[in-house]
Amino acid sequence: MEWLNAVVQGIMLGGLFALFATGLSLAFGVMRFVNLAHGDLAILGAFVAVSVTSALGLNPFVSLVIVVPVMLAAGYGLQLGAFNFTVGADPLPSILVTFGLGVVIQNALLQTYSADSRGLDVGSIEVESIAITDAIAVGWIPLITLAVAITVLLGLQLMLSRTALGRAFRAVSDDPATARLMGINDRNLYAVAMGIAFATVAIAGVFLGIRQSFGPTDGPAQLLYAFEAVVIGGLGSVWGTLIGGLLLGVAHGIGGQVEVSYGYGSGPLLGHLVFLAVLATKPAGLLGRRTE
Amino acid sequence: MAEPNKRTTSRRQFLGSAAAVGLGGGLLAACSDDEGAAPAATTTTAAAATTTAAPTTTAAATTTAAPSATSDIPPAKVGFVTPRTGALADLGQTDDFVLAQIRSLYGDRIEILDKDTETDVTRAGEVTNELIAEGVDLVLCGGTPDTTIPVAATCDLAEVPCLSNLAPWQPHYINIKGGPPGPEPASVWNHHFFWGLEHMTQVYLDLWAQADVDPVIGALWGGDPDGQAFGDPEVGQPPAFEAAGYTIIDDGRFDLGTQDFSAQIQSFKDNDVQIVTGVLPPPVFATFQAQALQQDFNPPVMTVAKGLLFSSAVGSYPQGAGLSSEIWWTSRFPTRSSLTGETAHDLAEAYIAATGRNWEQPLGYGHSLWEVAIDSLRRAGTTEKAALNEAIGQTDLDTQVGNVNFNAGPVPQLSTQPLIGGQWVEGERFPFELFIAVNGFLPDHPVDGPLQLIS
Repeated sequence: MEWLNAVVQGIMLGGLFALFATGLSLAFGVMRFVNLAHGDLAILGAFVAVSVTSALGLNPFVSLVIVVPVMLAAGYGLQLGAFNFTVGADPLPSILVTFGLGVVIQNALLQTYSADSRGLDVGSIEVESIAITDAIAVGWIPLITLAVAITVLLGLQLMLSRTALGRAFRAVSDDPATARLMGINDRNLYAVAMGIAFATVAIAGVFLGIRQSFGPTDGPAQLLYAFEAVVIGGLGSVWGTLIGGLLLGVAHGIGGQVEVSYGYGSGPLLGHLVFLAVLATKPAGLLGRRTE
Repeated sequence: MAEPNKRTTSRRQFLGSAAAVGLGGGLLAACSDDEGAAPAATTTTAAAATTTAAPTTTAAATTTAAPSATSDIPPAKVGFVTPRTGALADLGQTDDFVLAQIRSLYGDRIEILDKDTETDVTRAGEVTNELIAEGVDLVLCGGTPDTTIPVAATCDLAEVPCLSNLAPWQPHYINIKGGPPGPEPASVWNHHFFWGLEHMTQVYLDLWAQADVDPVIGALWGGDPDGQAFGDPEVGQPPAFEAAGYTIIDDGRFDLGTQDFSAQIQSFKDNDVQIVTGVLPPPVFATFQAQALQQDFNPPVMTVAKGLLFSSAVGSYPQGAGLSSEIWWTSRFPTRSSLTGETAHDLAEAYIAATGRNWEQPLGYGHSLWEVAIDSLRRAGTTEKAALNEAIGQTDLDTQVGNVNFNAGPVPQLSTQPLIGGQWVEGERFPFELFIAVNGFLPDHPVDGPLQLIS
């Protein structure tokens, strides 16, 4: 029974991982852009939520109404003003720029908010759960996180496959030069994609802040899990991101149980092993498109 | 399919990026406008420190025989190395206030060269080398062994006196000397004052003795150096806990990056654990507590090292009230500053007035570093390094953190300071305040009552 519990709790954790990975996956899928500041942006989103909740007295869930548009605008502006100069065949400029951005965000957060650990308080729901059996209880917050992750990814998938904007995204992803000939403003499109990526990572940051406490320097650790989820699922694949996140979460859950039952191993370790195994056997990821 | 991208950076592109960076900065500033308290606090620190220090500065100016007169202190350059940013920044958060106060009191005699380790062991050694190159006479440092070890070791090589605190003495001593405690000092040029693991284990046992619960401990000792040391079956805490009659449920060293504790929680529930202990950084403890409560595991006693030191961190936990911990310094310590005559209470109030934040435990230790340094400089009468080191060794001074005497510790050049224990309760003035339950090492400290069980 404890193994079943480990899997159930792992799936819940996987929801958060998938939410984190969404923006990273989208930016890579649309413009081959590797964003090393992704984790720091999530923490930035959480801190923006801290400001919004304390200034307006809002519930952190409600604060998303303000946090998401703010981050969306920030992503749009940053892409137009800076990231667009790095988009191209060579991934190195984008890596360098976003690495620098991550350092800037961490230190700006330290300056403004100090090094204190913060949390986002949503009241008693934080510790409430639904008892499925005597031995298995699922917390409301992890369950809501998973539901939001699935909703966000479903929405993204529908947008990509059903709308004109989605068609344009797919077009520039496949062949930016031809897309431009067809009248698509790829620079503006990249900015929209980055805006959406920032919006999703802000949601992830707020849910992280509700789930656990966070400080200005916690971003890079989140980036690692997001990267693993994206690579496991397949670079640029929406459903792959969800599957990658869930698989990574389950690996963490089972790894933790292995450690307790047998005295060695650990959750993150098993997660890293799954990541390495996928990288070795299916470098494009479970649902990834074969890259050139 | 790759688009032909211009690789040459034109002036226009450069200006564009610069503008974007400026935009990002502006955005950050805009997001934090309502949090204006933090920068405002920093700017007011100096002013408030001046206010509190006013009486003594006046005394010094009129050259009355006040203990803080500066004329008998040799002009000195003193380096100050603590973690101010990064994961350990909590430990350095009171330093700006402390330094502002010392500058206002002794700025005419002592030049302070202030360095941030950025929570990086390598950088701690590098900045110490920079200080030595700039010709400092003395280096002060504090903030876990990750700070004190590289700084003290670097000073030892350069033969510059070094005073350290804010790190349990065993890991500090063992790593500098490279062997178990013995009759020799860790290093000729280092003097250290803090408490040790033996004090902490005793405080924990004293706390638990007050709780009427089954003696079953669930241990959360992680795979980091602290967790390894605490959980070591021979030199860690388990032997003392077992000798006191406790059963320990220890499911092994876990990765501190773990985000899922459901396996440990299940194991604690199965074994009916009543006391949870361990050494966990704040974010890890928060993750554990939220999950434990979701899984309906709420033990009556939770005594955790590291994660419960700061009221700011406790406020971020799902359930902060009732959590217990070791306590190194409080605003009610029965001590006075040898520099200003301020009681612990005065010092804490000055900090609150200057920053608008509740006092935190490093305040007393940061202040005491300067007490010992200035007392030693005064007695040495010179900044000649060997003489200064000798004078530090002869220290016998009542400070904010108790009597510091480097000849009375378990190993030479070490002074052990009193450690007490207690728990966080909801406060009237600040969201969480300390409730003191154990004062075995400092009987003059008021006790608020026995440990209260978490309900």
